[in-house]
Amino acid sequence: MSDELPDAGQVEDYTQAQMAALLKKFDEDKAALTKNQKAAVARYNFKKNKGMDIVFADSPGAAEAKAAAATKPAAAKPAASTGTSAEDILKTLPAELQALAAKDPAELSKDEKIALAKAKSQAMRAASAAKKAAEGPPPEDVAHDKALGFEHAKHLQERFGDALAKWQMQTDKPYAVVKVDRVRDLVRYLRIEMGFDQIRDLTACDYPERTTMEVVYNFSRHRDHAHLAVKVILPRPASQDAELPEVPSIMGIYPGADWLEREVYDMYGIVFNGHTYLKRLLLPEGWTGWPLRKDYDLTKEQFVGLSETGEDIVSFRSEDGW
Amino acid sequence: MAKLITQIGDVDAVPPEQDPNIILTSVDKLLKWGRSNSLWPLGFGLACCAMEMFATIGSHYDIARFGSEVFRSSPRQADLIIVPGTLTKKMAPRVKKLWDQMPEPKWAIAMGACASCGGPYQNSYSTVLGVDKVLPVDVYVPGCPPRPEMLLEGLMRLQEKIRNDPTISPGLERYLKGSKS
Repeated sequence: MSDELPDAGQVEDYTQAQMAALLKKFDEDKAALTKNQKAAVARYNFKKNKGMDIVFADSPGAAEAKAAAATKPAAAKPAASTGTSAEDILKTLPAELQALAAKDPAELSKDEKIALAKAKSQAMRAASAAKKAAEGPPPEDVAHDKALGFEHAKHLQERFGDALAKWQMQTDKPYAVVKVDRVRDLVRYLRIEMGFDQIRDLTACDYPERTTMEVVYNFSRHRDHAHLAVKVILPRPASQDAELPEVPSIMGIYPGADWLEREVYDMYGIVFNGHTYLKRLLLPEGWTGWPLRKDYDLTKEQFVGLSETGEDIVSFRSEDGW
Repeated sequence: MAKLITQIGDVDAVPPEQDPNIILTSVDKLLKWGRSNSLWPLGFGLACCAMEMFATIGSHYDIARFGSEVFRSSPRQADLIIVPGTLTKKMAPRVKKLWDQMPEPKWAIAMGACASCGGPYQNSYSTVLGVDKVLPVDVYVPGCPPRPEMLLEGLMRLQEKIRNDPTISPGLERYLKGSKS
């Protein structure tokens, strides 16, 4: 059977049927394959695991893809230079800066040079951003599609689509934004049905400019190292004293979330409904305020002392401390 | 031997033919010399500096060369507190308590940038900016964290300080007062 298969290292050199045969052969008798064929199997598996598009020799568009790959180094250069060449950039600058640029660099003063360089880099950035925008769909859509390219993400979208607001990528891992009232359902499903057996982290972020707070859950499962992040977006309280935002606790589903939730409560003042022992984890009991929120006032120093029975006393007066 | 004698007493007062059989010194000087070479530190650590402290205790750097290998687990048996690491506000009253439980005479070494001045945790909600806000520090050892050599240097400076202390030893003063009455 090995004779029928081409001795080539690229996935594109195989038809779909040939690849299936190659994979079967790989499972049965690895030693009979050539080095190139093994490389093709490895490339195929890599692409499959990463959720990339796989182009076979007989699939439509294969010829173009192959041609593009062959001419890539040559074609990339002129494409990059259009719209971002030095002359084009100069044309977008204001008139006085254009005049400066036309002069001999030795004649320019230091300030002029700096101004020119700044304007140039700004224009360059704007040009590359515009180019990127013109080239394809917005990056959010690309990330959404990429996130759903993961098998577990797709499965979750099919099962819990109504509870999920959006899908995005967090570097190379997918994350979903889930509605607050469905958190516990979704997390239970992740743990019991999908086999995510570890909660890697549970933390929060404060975004004053978006007036939101986020609780971020990171799950993974040991059997295939799949990773999934889930975020809950909450309205941000107007001040440190305002009513605290609430999310359901997942402590009953992942016992490991116990202290993580307490820490988030301690630092951000997010209440986890259903937590059995929601007390400050690191700071002393009587502490005022939520220190990792952006509006925490560092100028009001707090002091900690010990009572006769060994309990912490927190006070704004320095004489009460240590 | 000559170095040892200068640490204890006045070597020039001894006639050369009798050296080294006779050492002239005062009781106070002898006490200080003894104390400086038998500092018993409190076995206690706060942060990463403690790791360097453990390395100093270990056989490679060997703090026993300076008579300080007896790390006590009770403050009542220790006369030196090395504060190795970041002091948080929650920990501060506990450290103060340990310090208060140590019997006189006692000394303190602030080990590392955090214990000396708060280190990188300026503008933090939780950090005490320097252990000297809680207890009187004799020697500050800079570094983040200081290498074991640095801590040993700090210990030697403390020994020097104890030996050259111009005041009379507290215990001796009490003894002398008691014998007079």
